[in-house]
Order: sequence, then C-alpha cells, then structure tokens
Amino acid sequence: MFYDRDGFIVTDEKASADELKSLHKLIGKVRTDIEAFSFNTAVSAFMIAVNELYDLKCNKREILEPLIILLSPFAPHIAEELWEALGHKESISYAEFPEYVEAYTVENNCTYAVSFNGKTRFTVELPLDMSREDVDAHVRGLEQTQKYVAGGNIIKVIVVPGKIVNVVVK
Amino acid sequence: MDYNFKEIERKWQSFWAADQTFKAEIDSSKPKYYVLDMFPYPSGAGLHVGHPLGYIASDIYSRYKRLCGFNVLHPMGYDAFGLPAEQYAIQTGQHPAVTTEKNIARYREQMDRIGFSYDWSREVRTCDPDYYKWTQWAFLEMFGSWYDNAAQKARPISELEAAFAAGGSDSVDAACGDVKPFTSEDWSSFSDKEKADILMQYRIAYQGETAVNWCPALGTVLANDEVKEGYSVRGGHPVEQKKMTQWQLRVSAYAGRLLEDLEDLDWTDSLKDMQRNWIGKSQGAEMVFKVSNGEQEYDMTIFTTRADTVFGVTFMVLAPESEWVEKLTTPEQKAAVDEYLVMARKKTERERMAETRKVTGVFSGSYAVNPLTGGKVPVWISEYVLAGYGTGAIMAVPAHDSRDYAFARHFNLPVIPLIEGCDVTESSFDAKDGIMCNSGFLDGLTVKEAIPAAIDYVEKHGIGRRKVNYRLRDAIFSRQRYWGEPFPMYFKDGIATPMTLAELPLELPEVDKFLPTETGEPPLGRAQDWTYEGYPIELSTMPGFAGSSAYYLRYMDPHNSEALVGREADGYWRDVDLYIGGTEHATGHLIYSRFWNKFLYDKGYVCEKEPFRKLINQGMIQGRSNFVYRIINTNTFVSYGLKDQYETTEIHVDVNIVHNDRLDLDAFRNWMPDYADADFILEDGEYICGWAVEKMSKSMFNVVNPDMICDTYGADTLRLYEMFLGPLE
Repeated sequence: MFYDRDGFIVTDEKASADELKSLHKLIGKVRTDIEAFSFNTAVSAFMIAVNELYDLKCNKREILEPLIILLSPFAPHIAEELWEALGHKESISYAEFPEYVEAYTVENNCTYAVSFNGKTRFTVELPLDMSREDVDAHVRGLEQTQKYVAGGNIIKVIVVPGKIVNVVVK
Repeated sequence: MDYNFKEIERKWQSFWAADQTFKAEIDSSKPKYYVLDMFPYPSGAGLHVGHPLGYIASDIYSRYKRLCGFNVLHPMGYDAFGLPAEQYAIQTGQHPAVTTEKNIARYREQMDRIGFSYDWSREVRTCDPDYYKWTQWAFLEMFGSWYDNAAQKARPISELEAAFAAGGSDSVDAACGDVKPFTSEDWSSFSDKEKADILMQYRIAYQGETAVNWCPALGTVLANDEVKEGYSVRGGHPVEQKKMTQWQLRVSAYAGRLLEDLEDLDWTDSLKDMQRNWIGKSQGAEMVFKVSNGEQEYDMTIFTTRADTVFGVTFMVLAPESEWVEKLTTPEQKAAVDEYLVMARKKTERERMAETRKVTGVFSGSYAVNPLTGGKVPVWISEYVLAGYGTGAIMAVPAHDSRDYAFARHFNLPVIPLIEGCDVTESSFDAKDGIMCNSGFLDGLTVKEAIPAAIDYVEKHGIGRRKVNYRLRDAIFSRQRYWGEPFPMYFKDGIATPMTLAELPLELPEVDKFLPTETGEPPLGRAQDWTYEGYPIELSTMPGFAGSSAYYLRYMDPHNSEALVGREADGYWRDVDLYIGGTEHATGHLIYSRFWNKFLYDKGYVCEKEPFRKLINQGMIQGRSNFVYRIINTNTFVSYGLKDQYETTEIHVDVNIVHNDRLDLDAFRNWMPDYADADFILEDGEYICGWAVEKMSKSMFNVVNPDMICDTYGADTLRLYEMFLGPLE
C-alpha cells in the first residue's frame, strides 16, 4: 500500500467511499476496543481492515495517514518509519487520533435480486437511495438483462425498492 | 520489499531516547493522564514472559492517550530491595547492591528493546538513598502521629500529649493498644519512660509485641505468604510462631476508610471483594464473661456477631497465642496445654484458617460463666481461633456455628439448638433465619429481631456494648535482614527516639557478612559504630512493601530534594488514572499503598485520598503450543495431516524447535534422549505440528522468551503477538 517494486507510491488522490468505510469502521473499533482493554479484538480489526484496503489497492494518503496513527500504539516502530516516509518531521507519538465519522461506515448499497418472469437470474449492487426510475433504467441497460430478454420485449419492470426487480418479458 | 526491522527498531528507539519524546512535564493546558505499571523486582532471571503482557498493554494505552491529547505520565522503576539479592549475597559474598545494579541493567536493556514509551528521566529505585530518604521520612511521620477515631484522621502526637496533660486518657477516642486509663494528674506524674511507653501504644508507627513467623535458620521474621506448612518457602527451613517486639504500622485504624473508599474506585468486583474480605468487617457486640481458674477470677471480653445466641454457649475457646492461655491454664492441665502449644506454633495463621476439617484442641482447666444464664461452661484452647480476631477468645455456640459444631462433636460437648425446629443432629444451623427458642427473653423473636434485642439487653445490663470488628491487622514492619531501609531510630536510655529530618537518608552501613550476628542480632549488628550520638540505632530494616507503598507519588516529582512530592506536582498529577499489575498484590501492596496514601492525605501532603483510580489485573499470559503425534507403542511420529490414519498420542513439543508449525527434525531428535532415534512420517517432505492456545507454562513447552521474539521477528511483532494471544484480564 505504501511501496511497490519501484518505490513509494502513496498518492494524494481522494479516497473512495469503500476505502473510507474500511478506515472508519477501524477507527470506531480500535477506539472502543482500547477503551475496553480488549486489545486482541483490536488486532483482529487491523487485520480485516488491512486486507480490505489491500484488495482495494488503496495507496491514498487520506486513508493511510490515519491508519498509521491508529496502528502506532500497537506497533510504534513501523508506524514511525512510515510516518516519516509520508513526509512528517515530528514523531507520530503526538499526532492526533483520527476522528470517527459514522456516516462513512453506513451501508450505502443494497443488493437487488433481478428476476425475469418470476425467475431470479442474477443480483446487482445499487445505491440505497437510487430512485425507482433510475433502477429501472439501470437494469434495462445491463448486458445480462439483454441476455435473459433474448430477443423478446420488455413489457414492464417492477421495482421493489431495496429488494427486487422483476422484468416481465414477452 | 524487505523490512529491516532490526535497524528500523533500533533507529526509532534511539530517536525516542535522544529526542526525549516521552518526557512528561507539567502542562496545565492539557488534561493529565497517569498510567502506571507495577514496578518489577529485578531478579537474576531477567524479565519473564509475564511482565511484557501488562507493560505492552499499558504502553498501548499511554500512546493512545497521547494521541487523544492527554499529557501522559508513564514512568518505570525498580522495586529493588528484597530477599533474593540478599540470599545471593549470603551465598557468594557479592554485595546485594552490585547484584541489583547488574539485574537492573539487564531489565532495562530488555525493556528498551520492546519500544516502551516510558519517561526514563523519572526512574526510581527503592534501594537508592535519595529515594528511601522519603520512605524513612514517611515512617517518622507515622511515628509522630496518632489516629483520632472521632475525627477519623491522623494527627500529630504533640496534640495527644496536650490532651493527656489536660484531661487524661479518657479525653481522646484514639486507635490504640492496651492502655490502663489515667488522669491528667497521673500523666504529669509519669516519668519520661512511662510517657514514652504510653505514647507508643498510640503511634501510627509503633513498637509492640506480636506473634510472628520466626525462621531460626534464616534468622528473620517471615510474612504469611513466605511460609508454607510450617517451613519457609525459600530454603524449606522450619518456621515457628514466636512473640517478638516489632515495629508495626497501625493499618487497622484505617480499616473503615479502606473499606468505604473502595466504593468509588474503578476496580473489578473480584478485586474489591478480595480487599473487602481481607479487611473483614463484622458488626456485633463485645461481651464480658467472668472466668475463673479456681483460684482467681477475671473479666474476659469476647467479640461476637451473634449476640442472639448467648443462650446456646456451651464452651469458650482461646487462641493458642492469647494471653488468657497462661492465666487460665490450671496446674493439672499444664502439661497437656504446653504440648498442644508447641504443635500449634508450627502453623501460620493462614494454614490454621484453611484447615477446617482437622479438629484439635485442649481443655485449659478453667470455667467461664454465661452472663445471661449464669451457667458454667469449660474454657478450651484451639487453633481454630486466631489471636488477632477480636480478642483472641470466643464464645462457642455449636448449634449455630459450623466450626464450633465440629469442635463440640469431636470433644463431646453439648449442643443446644436455639431456633424452633432446626435440626442439629448432623450439622449446625448457621442461617440467620427462624424463630428463637431456649433463649429466655428472646423466645418468639425472629433471628433478625433477636440480634439487636440481645445487644440492647447486654448494653442495658452493662455486660457489653455494640462493636464493629475488623479482621485487618496492623502490619508488621520489622525484618531482621540487611537489604532494606534502615529505621532512622535510636534508643536513648531505652526510649525509641527519632532522628531529625536533617539526618535523612540514614544510609545502609557496610557489613562484613550479610548474616545475623553470633548473638542472634540482625545483620546490621555487624556494622561498625552503628550508633547515633553514642546511642544504638535500630538493627532491623523495613520490609519489602515499605519502598513500594508510595513510589507512584515519587514518580510525580522524582528529583525533589525537599519533599516526597511537591505541591505543584501533586496538584497536577494527583493520582494514578490507570494501574496495571498482577492479582498477587491484591491484599498486600494494594492495601499498604492505600493506607500510606490515606495517612499522607490526613497530614496534608497529598491531595487525593485514594492512589489508584482504575486498576486492571493482567491475566496469565497465553501461549501458542505445538504438538507432535506419536503412534502408540512406537517411536514414530506422524505429521498433523496424516495423524487420523493412525492411533496416536498428542505430545507437547518445544515451540522453540518449531518454525511456522514445521518441526525441525534434527533439533527434535536432540531435544530429549527418548527422541534420539525417532522416525517420522512426513507430508510433502515436512513434519507439520498441531497447535493450540493455552496457558503459557514450562510444562507445555510453549514459553517464549521475549528476547527471542524480538530477535527473530522484531518488537512490533512481539507487541502484536502478545496482545493477540487473548484478552488482557
């Protein structure tokens, strides 16, 4: 996340919602766990978050800086080293514990089961607040939809918000 | 890319040291937070695996609090006086100071490698004269104070003298020993020595006679937990109960406050319960029984929590150490009693309390008169009664107390039931439940009504009075050892006299050997010219808990040469916000420290009445064990993945010869002679071990030296590993 074969790769790009979600879930968890002296569960939370961020190929300062601060009480040497690599001149010991923003951790998407004439064929992840019309349009435009329509005509698309899309084909 | 942890960890450890990153200074713009580890005794074995668990946890918390904007005080030091260094000195002639210094250097090196954020500029060592000056100072303060029960606080002894001069002994309600009442006229007629003896009964640090665990071979008094089954834990020498004049601290005076103030502390319930049991409050009554040995009659005071059961008293019991034993043993019984006392002397109190099944005792030959019934009952002696509980004498009600019951059945003494319908044919009826019978004026009342009714009656008839009793004892404060703080006291014409503050620290003198003298005096008896203005100085030294009782205060202001802790530092840091350490200190150190703190609070030297706001006990450290699987009746070991195809026994294997759950076969063959010709059934050319997380112990071969992990994987890995092993408590 910090380095690749060619060197330091941290960027100043804006973090994605998924990245922020991983980070803030971790901030919340680490804070509560430290306050409760439940250090073993905090260590597990680090493992989960690091795996998620690794999968997201996250190399953004906006995420990595707070991540390193969170890690510093547990693994202070590597935290200092990375902190320095991020361009800081002062010890990480007196940095500020990142603020937890609950909004980032809220689930924004939901999974729609898409069925054709009552038979569920596939699922699709869509934003929770997407309007009926937009869901309708989005599903119509999907490649998979074309496959199941297979030459027929779409008579109607029924959207149950947050749950199901039923495509009636003739 | 490679992560060169050795270089990087060394780099940051040097940076923190040079930068003084963790040096804490008073800063009123920030809230303070004080995180304290119980400081270690620097033993020769180095830091053991249990230490880092708590230290890492407290370090994580300290670093977290800094990130949250707190001004964190996180110090470390050494509890450096103690018996092991002294025993080593006796064996080798090596001065304990030298051994201690060496061990401390080793501890420091080990701690530095783990990357703790201690403020080392505040380090304390209890054996350092600049430190123990303040231990001696506190002792002198206690010597110069008495405890006012009415005001519930310690006050200067000069105020007591003034009160005696004005109104005699009845003018004060003080925590004190046995004092015969005297008038103000008596007081002014007393000699200096008489006055000194009386004041000694009131001082918070005082000299008094007490039963101690005496080990002749070690030439010293031992604490209860240093004795097991009549032998010293160290060395296995016989230990006996002996009466000796010892310095003591009047901790019992603080029992009520030590109990009440537990309420406000953020400690676990189990720890609070341990302290509550140790303090052992019971409400009841003191009652006077007439006793007679056939020649002389005495008034004997006993304490009971069950005044309602006086009608069921069928005998009395004395503790073997009780002074009543001598008075009440008749000539006919003397031989039997003496024999019994010799036997009882070999056991410590704790053992006596624990041994409930074995009933022992001897009849004194004397009788007591029940003050309510006028009935005559025998007086026995038994070790199940402890000298320090109440008055060391009890009234026995076998129908309603299980220990009295066992005793009565064993010695064939009568059992009189006092509650309607209760069955006492097999055991006593201990519950405070039911309707009274066989109890004169109490008949028909419930037990709960009868208890206060009986006490009222007793008070009204001048037989006794209401009383709160505590199990907590005064702390014995003398040790006949070398490696401890000397007492800044000398004996002028037989009167214990304090040195002036200007004389402090009174430094430990050099001695030729660290053993008692030929005449049986403590090692300080060997010191040349151990006198003050021509008078002999006290020869015993202070116990281990002296130096650890106020160390948390010294960290606040470690270089102050004028006070244990200055006002500004005390006012800012106040108390320990988080204290981490083992439960083994639940009733020792944690009682003494609280007592010490309350005393200093009474005297206005510290601003908080309790020293440790939140306390966490780190648990036993968990370890990750490895297993090999031996096919039954063979010396063939089968790899983990194939073991189900055979009948095997699971055997612990030393985790130090297993890497990534793969067994080092050569190392295994060399590990124990039995395995020298072991065969293996491998999978993919390797032997895979099984694993489990268990308590870390030598018998499970899962003990990992922190140095080893630091060397192989680095300090950050050690920290994460120890935290990941399991919850802290």
